[in-house]
Amino acid sequence: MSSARKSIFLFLIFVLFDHFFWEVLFWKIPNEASWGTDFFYNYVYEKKRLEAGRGPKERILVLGSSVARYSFDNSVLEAYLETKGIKKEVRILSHAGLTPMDAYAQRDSIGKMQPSLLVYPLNFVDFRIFRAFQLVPQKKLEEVEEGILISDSLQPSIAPQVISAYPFEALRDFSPYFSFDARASFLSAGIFSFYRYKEFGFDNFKYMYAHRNSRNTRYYWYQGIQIPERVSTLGWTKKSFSFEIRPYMKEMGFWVQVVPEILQEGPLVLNIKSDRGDMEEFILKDVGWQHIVIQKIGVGDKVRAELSATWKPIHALGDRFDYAREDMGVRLQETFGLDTPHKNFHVVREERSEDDRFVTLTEREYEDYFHFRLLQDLDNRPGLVAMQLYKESKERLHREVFRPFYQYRFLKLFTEEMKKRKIPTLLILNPENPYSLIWYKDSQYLKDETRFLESLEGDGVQFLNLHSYLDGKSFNDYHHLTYQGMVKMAPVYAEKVIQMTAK
Amino acid sequence: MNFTSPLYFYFIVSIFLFFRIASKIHLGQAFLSSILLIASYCFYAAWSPTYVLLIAVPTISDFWLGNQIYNSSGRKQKLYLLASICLNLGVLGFFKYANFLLGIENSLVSMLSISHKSLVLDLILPAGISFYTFQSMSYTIDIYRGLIRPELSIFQYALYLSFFPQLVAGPIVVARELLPKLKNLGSNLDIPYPKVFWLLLLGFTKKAIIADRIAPIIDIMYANPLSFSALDWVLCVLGYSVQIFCDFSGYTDIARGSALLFGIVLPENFNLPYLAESFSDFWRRWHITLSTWLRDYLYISLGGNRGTVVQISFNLMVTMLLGGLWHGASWNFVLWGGGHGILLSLERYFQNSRFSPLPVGGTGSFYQKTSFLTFLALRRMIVFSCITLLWILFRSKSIDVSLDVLSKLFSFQGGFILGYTDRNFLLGNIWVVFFSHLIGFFYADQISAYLEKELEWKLGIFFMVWAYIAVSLSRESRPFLYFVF
Repeated sequence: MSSARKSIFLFLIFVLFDHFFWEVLFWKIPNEASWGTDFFYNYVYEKKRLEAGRGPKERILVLGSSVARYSFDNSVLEAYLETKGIKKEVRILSHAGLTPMDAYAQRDSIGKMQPSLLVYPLNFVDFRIFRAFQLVPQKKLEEVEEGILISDSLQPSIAPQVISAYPFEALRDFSPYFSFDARASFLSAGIFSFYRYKEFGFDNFKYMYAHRNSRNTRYYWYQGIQIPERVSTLGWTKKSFSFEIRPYMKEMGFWVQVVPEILQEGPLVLNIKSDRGDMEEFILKDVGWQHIVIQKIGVGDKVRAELSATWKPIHALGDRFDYAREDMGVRLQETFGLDTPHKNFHVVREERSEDDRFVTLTEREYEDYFHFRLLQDLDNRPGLVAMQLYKESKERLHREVFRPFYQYRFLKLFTEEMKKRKIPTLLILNPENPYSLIWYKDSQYLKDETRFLESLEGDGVQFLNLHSYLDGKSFNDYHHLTYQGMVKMAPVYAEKVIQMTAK
Repeated sequence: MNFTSPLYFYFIVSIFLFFRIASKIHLGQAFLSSILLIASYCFYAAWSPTYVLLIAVPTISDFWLGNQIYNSSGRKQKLYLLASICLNLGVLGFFKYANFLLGIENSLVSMLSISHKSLVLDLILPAGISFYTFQSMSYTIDIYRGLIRPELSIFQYALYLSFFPQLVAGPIVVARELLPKLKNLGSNLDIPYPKVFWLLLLGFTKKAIIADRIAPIIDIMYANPLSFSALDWVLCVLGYSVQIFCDFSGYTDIARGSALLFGIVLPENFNLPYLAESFSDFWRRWHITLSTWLRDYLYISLGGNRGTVVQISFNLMVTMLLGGLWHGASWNFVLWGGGHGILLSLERYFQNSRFSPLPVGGTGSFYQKTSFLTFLALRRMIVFSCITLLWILFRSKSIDVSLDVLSKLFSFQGGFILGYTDRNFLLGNIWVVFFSHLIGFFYADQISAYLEKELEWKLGIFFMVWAYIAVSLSRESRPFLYFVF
């Protein structure tokens, strides 16, 4: 066989192997990433699971951006529905920044998921009007060319999900907005799966290897056992934390991270006391990950660990510094307390200490905290550019005229598709923090936007306006609900779900 | 159209298939040239359609002037050559140096305290202009020197100037070398596929995996020269040596591999440059086609190696200063070229000395007595260190930044520390380039001979796995550094 023929043959083998490995085998491997560890891997993983079909129960599919993710939890909503005697499977398909444009392009895929009800919570961020103000600040909204915004939304740096989740569909629907370079990239992503998933392809192997063969101190999001006193998303405890002694804690021990701030008054004492009265004390003098080996307390015993000191991120240095006033303790390993790592943890929302920090605050204290955490000293907080941009954009809406273009147009196209496919759809203008809603609540723009959303109703599509439903303490920021906020909303969503799915 | 982008993959595959079918059914040399000419102009227009107009200027003018030079003699012939050189350098100078010269003029006027309005032209440097300008000049100069006859077809000449694999960043191939090859398109259909795959994959790996991943680390450090620790700066300057080598030689590898698909063998542009034994040896290994061009058309014209040590040093300094300026209009490039000129002059001065520290010619007694391995390694280290330090001038945006980097580098002080991953990545790639130089040093001939054979199954599978890993590890492609020169 000549070199040319061998090359063609090998290329064909390459394409077949690529497809088999990345489209079939790869998705059979358990997913050990938490939701925030890898948004897009988790999104494609969940999308493939849902496309594969559903079980005997009817499926409620919640679609959307992080707004959806923070507003719903499968188990909380399922449990509430069960109390009403309704057995439904609730599934959430979301990633940060999922827009109506993304939803419209993936309409066929959503059809394959066979939802008996599609729930789509939306908020100001999902319509991405702020991007128009950012890209062409001098222009009024009615003068902005839609193509600029659509092209912007398709850039790999802004929307990496387009390449990994729906490259062919993007070519089909948005081809005129792509450069030749982008078209070639999307075509490659459609043909070659290893190219399509290259941004996260090997990451899950990395997580799996780390979970089994490392100390699990390289952090993404905490995904160990739930601590009754709660830990933060990044695994920081409070002054005390309770857990059960696992065999590995006696055999190999476990690790906790100690920061310099907690050692300011001297060595840190970690006192672990079991519910049977056994006690062990560890003196931690050094900064960094410290090894703790339980000796006296028995396996299976429930223990409460108490720290002699705490630290506050607002008084810390370097990457530990944060605009947060809560007391922190030590950091636990990413998979703390687990004999085997969680699988499909990305669909689970557990309460974290960021969620309960507002619970005991008065309204006035909360308002002060809101400004301190989200809007103070912005010149030195480049990470909060988006928060400032959202604020300015919302304030600017008073001077703008509503125009049903860009994401609004795609939302309309999407609802029309759902009507055609006879998929009942619930559009929700989701709750927003009153302290940010006030910036544009009375604007004509918001009134017209709401009227537009109402106009989409009919033929199985319903609209629910919950924009002012919750108090400020139910939000982590402008539009992401705390765990408590999510629990508060579950009955409200559930009642509407029951109403829409009642036969 | 970046060589490491998917668009280039589809472009090269389509042109190759079209070319191959046309060759198989014997559509003729003119047809094959037309395919490559159209492809080359489309390739260039992908950057900006106006570039096509710009390359048309030397194409038409030098094609006509070449004929005039050939058909005239004496003073008239010289005038035609002068017109060609002035036109080429004029266009290049306007786009590349106008703002630099205006900046000098503005500074001088300010120094004389004369009130004036600073003038800055809004110019974008067309990709590859320095490369095809030098190629075009080689054509008229070679006709003047009687080395070649003028090309009969303007389309053939247009293809010579715009041949897409080497259009935007070389290798700079002189007319006497490339024009005959382009006239024989389709005569050699026996393509060494293993060598093509090797060059394409090697180039892609160097550029997309090493250079493009190192670049953000280097960019951050050069943007904050005083912030990082001295130890990190050692890694950074070594890292930049790796980045620029992998970036530029990676481009050349892909260019050579692409050209081979059409039966065109482009010259090597790099030959294990960081194993150079001397500074003149470095320039025989680094950007070989530019050094050869500067030697043949500038250095020799200035007098070359004839004359006293002072005259030779003067010739070297002028050549290297202009070579530095060729890279860009900035004092940093002038200093970088000047630095190399000084090192070459010193080397030339010491060449015949009894105590030559860096002998090159092999005539010095000290050299003869000490050319054992250890001393050779030491010499290579000294040469590499000097070259690496000079890259600081090359990389910095201004002389102030270069001074900041040098002061921090030799301060032995702490500062911000690079992340663990970044440090390891830099260090790892320094070792990769070091070992690949060693492999090249010991096994280049064997590898080359193996790649000339038919594609074996095991080699095919090796390439397949390599491509798989390389593309998986690559990130969004960045423009090649030499596109701006």
